[in-house]
Amino acid sequence: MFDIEKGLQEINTGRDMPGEALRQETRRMMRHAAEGRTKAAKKSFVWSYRAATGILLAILLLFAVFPRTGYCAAYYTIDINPSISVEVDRDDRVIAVHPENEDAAELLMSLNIVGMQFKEAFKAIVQAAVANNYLEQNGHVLVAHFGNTGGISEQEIQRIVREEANDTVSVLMLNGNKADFEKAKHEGAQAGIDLLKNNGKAKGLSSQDVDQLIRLFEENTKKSGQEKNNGNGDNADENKKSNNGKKTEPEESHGNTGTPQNQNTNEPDGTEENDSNGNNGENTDNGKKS
Amino acid sequence: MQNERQLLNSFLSGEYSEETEMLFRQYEDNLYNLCCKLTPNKADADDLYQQTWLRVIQKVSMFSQLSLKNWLYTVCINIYRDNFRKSKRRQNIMANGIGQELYEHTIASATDNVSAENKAIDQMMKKLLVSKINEMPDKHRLPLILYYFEGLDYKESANVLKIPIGTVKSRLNTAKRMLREEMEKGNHV
Repeated sequence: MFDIEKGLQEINTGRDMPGEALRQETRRMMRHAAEGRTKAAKKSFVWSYRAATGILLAILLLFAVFPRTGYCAAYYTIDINPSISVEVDRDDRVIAVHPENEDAAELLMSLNIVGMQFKEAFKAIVQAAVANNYLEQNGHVLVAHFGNTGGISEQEIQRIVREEANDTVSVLMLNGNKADFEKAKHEGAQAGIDLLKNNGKAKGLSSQDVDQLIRLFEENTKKSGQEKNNGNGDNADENKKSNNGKKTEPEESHGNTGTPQNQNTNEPDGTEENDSNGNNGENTDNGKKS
Repeated sequence: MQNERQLLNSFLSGEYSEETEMLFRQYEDNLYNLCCKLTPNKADADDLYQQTWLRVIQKVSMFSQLSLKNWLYTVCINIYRDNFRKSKRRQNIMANGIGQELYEHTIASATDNVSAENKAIDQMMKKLLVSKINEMPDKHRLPLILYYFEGLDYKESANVLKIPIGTVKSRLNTAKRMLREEMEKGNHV
C-alpha cells in the first residue's frame, strides 16, 4: 500500500534553477527598476514640496483675502442714548456698526470705528457722546455684550467712561449670547434693553431700578424719534442734542426744546433753570437711582 | 554584516555590492524552483520569476518580515494568484489515463529482477502523486508545495499564504486525504 505521507516526503521533483541568461536579464531589470524608483521618488519629493508650498500659499492668500475679521463673533449694544449696536470678530475688532436711532446715526456720521478694537471704538463713541452733549452728569451708559466668550470687561468700560465723561455717570454692563441679540432684532426690540429686562435682577438691581432704567432709555429713544420728526433747521438739531443730554439729566429734558436756554443745559449748573420747567421730576429720580 | 533590508535599500540607492549579489544568489534558486512548481511551463516560470523580483524592488518599503525568502514566496504566490492561476497549468502533468502506459514504460526500462520492478513501481507512484497534486485546487496545492517541496514549516507557510497555522495544518490534512482518495480511485494504492 502506498503511503501518502512517506511518498510526499520522498518526492524529489528535482530542483529547477534559473539559467544564467535569466539571472542576468532579471538583474538588469531589477537595476533598471531601482533607478526608475529612485528617480520617481526624487520627482515625487519635488512635486510634494511644490504641492505643499502651493497649499501653504493658498492658505495664506485665503487669510489675506478673507481675514478673520469677516466673521461676526459677538455683538455689543451701547445705550447712552444714542443707541448703537456693534458687530465684532473673534479678536473683538469692530466689523460693522449700526445706529439704532437717529441720534446714533448723527453721532456715527463723524466717527469711523470699523477696524478698531472694541475698547478703542467704545472710547471714541463715549468721547463723541460727551462732545455732543449726549452724556452729561448723572447720565447712564448701558453696554451689553452678546457672545459666547471674551468681550470687554465691566471694569474696562467703567474706566473708559470715568476717564472720558465723569464719575457721576453710572455704567451698567450686561452679558448675553448671540441668540438673545438676534431674537431681539427679529422682534424689533432693542437688544440691550431686552437684556436689561431679563437679566437686570441678576446684576443686583431691584425690579424698581430695572423698570426705571428701562423707562428712561425707552423715553429717551422715543424723544429722539419725535424730535427727529419735529426737527426743522439748526435749532431743531441743537434741541435734539439738548434733549438727548436730558436723557442722562432727565430734569432738563422737557420744555426746553427750541429755547435759547437749551444752550445752557450743557452746563452743569443749568439744572436749576431746568427744574423750573417742572414736569420731569420722575425722570430725575430715575437717573439718580440708576 | 548588513541585514537583508539594508542590502535591498543599498541596491535601490544604486549600490550594488558583492553582498547584495550573494543575497540574490541565495534565494533565486529557491524562488525559481517555486515558480516552476506553480506554473505549467518554463516560459511562465521565467515570467513569474522576473515579475517577482521586480515587484520586490518596487515594493521594498513593504518588506517587514524577518526573512527575505518568505517575502519572496509571498510576493511570488500573490503574483501567481493574480496572473497565472487562470492559465493552463495542467499541461505537464500526468493524466490518469497514461498511468498504465507510464507503468509499462518504467517496467520495460527496468531490469528483470523483482527489486527493480518494485523500484519502478515506486517511482511511478510518486510521479502519479505529483500529477494528482498538480490537479488539486490551489487552496490545497499551495500548502503542499510550500511544506513538502519547499521545506517551509507550518509557521512559514502560514506567513507566506497569510492564513493561520491551524488552517495550514487542516488544509494539509485535507489535501492528503484527497490524494489518498484519488489514488485509491485509480487502484494505485
